[in-house]
Amino acid sequence: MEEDSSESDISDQDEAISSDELEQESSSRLWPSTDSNMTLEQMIQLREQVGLKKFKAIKASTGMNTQENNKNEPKSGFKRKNKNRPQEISSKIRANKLQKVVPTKQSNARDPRFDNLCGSEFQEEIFNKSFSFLNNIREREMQTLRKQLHKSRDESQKTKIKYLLDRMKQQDEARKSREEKRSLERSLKKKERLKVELGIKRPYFLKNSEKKELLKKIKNEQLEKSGSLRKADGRKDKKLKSKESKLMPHSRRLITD
Amino acid sequence: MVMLRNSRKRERGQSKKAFKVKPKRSKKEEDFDEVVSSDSELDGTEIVPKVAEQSDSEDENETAQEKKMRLTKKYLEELKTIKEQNATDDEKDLVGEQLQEDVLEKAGRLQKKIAAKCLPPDEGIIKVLKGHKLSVICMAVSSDGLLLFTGSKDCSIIKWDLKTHKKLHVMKGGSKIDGVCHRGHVLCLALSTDMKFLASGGRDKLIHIWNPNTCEHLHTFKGHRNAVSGVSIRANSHQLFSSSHDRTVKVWDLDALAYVETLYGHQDAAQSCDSLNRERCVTTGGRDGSIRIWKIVEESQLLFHGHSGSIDCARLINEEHMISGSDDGSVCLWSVMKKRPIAVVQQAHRLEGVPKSREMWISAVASLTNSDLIATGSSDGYIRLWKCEGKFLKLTPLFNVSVPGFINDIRFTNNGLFLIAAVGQEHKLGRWWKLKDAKNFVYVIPIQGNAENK
Repeated sequence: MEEDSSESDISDQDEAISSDELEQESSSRLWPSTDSNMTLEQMIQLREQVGLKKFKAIKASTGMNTQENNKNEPKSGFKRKNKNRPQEISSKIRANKLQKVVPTKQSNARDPRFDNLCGSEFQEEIFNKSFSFLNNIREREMQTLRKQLHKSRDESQKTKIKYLLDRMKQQDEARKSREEKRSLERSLKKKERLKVELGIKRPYFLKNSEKKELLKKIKNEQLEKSGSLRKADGRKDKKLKSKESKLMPHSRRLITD
Repeated sequence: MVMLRNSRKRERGQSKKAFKVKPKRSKKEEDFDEVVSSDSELDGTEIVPKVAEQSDSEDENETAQEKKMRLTKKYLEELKTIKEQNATDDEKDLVGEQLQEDVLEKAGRLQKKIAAKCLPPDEGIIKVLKGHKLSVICMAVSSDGLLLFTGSKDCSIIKWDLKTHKKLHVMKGGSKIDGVCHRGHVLCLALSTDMKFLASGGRDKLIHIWNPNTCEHLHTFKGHRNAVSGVSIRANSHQLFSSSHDRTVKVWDLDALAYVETLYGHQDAAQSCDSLNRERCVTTGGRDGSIRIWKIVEESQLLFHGHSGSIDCARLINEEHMISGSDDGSVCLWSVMKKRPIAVVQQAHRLEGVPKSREMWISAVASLTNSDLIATGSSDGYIRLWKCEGKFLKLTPLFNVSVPGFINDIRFTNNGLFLIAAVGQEHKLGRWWKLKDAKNFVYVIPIQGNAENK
């Protein structure tokens, strides 16, 4: 029961009424379980807990529990004569506490990193294609930075700009080498595909080291063309070679070229 | 039932013949009273009174039918004599009219045409009762129109004399007062018809019962789990209905000072409560957009839907009709027979030139019982009076009374001579706006032209 309050102050009027009634009832032995009569205070407490209506119902009924009483009163559906009349419902059914009265929209937050609607998995080619305009912007930025570097007198700022410039240059170079690698791969695959289609041979995939060598060759050719091929590069290759050949057994040294 | 009405009329008439017959009549009245005092709905209207078996019959050989005939003939004769004494040359068949009115009143469908005779009051006549420190929220008028109780945001209840316009007693409240009092705003008040009980409900979840004559505290009802927004004592009885923000409506018995039962159904905080003679009460549900009439005996409720905003106040006009106001500015006229309102007045309190951000919520509605006069109040600075056209078919505006401030409660006195408004600087439920030009007074406005009702 929701009624938790127990009253301590009883008015005289209260006592007079209830004592009369209770004396009558107790004599006729209508109370449910107890052999001894309930005290006045207990009766009043019961009435406070259960409510006047139910209390009277308990008294009126002969030895029935309150729970049974509830079961014996099923509420039949109320019918109305025509549909323009107000709907009639039972007033004893408790409403749901958490029921929302005013409909509010709860916005669902979406994380674009994990949401399918915000694009599929990252594909570098498509990314490069769609954001190729950024390269132009980056070039322009590098030019402005160089100008600034030339202009500035402050040493700390100069170092900062230098640092930035170097970073940008290296990023640029890395990007370019990646692109060359990819383009080489693409051309190789194309060739192989063509050959397979023509029916000449089965598909053959180059090793990573072989791909590297090819890339080097192409680079060298380009550098020769541009004329900036340096002796130092050639010497580097020589050095590496000699180092490697030292680790190799004698028999293999002469074979590799 | 019909005899009761007769006795009231007799007091006014004061004819010699009437006095002579009175003592005999009163006994019979009690008998008829015993027979007809059931609370069941009165679908059929009975003009002929039921005869009680244990009544003292003059002629014991007389059958029940003959007795009925004799009694009704006597009653009609008396009515005639009264009417003849008070009548002018123009009016005819006053007896018939009177009987018809009695029947309609019992059925709960009476509508006295009063609105047409009302006139706007002059500026100087409006009386002001000053005493509350904060906004006056609620009030209760005694049935004889002599006493007024008002409750306010300063947690106090003040008893006023309506003849002399003076404070009679203050029931102080607040957190700093010792003793039994309201610790929160007093949101609602109700007086019983016989002036034996005054019920007050407040934000502290308590309902205090006071003796209105001595202003002493009688009892506290502690059942509610949230602020008590409306209390109403059924007319001519000691049954108390209370509605609360915990979405329940509770029924209490004032004779035994005990809790009777709880009624569930509201989906949102119940905002107001009203009742007339029948064992029913009407409550408004706020944001769930429903008005419910609770039939206590059948343990059921009638659902009415309307209004797009929160329904804040509702009053019964007679047993079959009611009026309600909501915070979207609309006022609706309802019939118990229809689930939708009969008449709607949108933007009832719109002022020209005021920006729309300043919404005019209908904070109070009042109706003169069994008549066609209705008053509504908001914060636009006017109390608007309306007339119900025809048999509750339409609402037409009558006139406005200028009252600045938030009009938190309006009531008519039973004789229809005065309109009393509880006004404050803030809305009764919160502080959305604070009108600095307004004052926390109680306005007593005479509505001229109601000379018929005394």
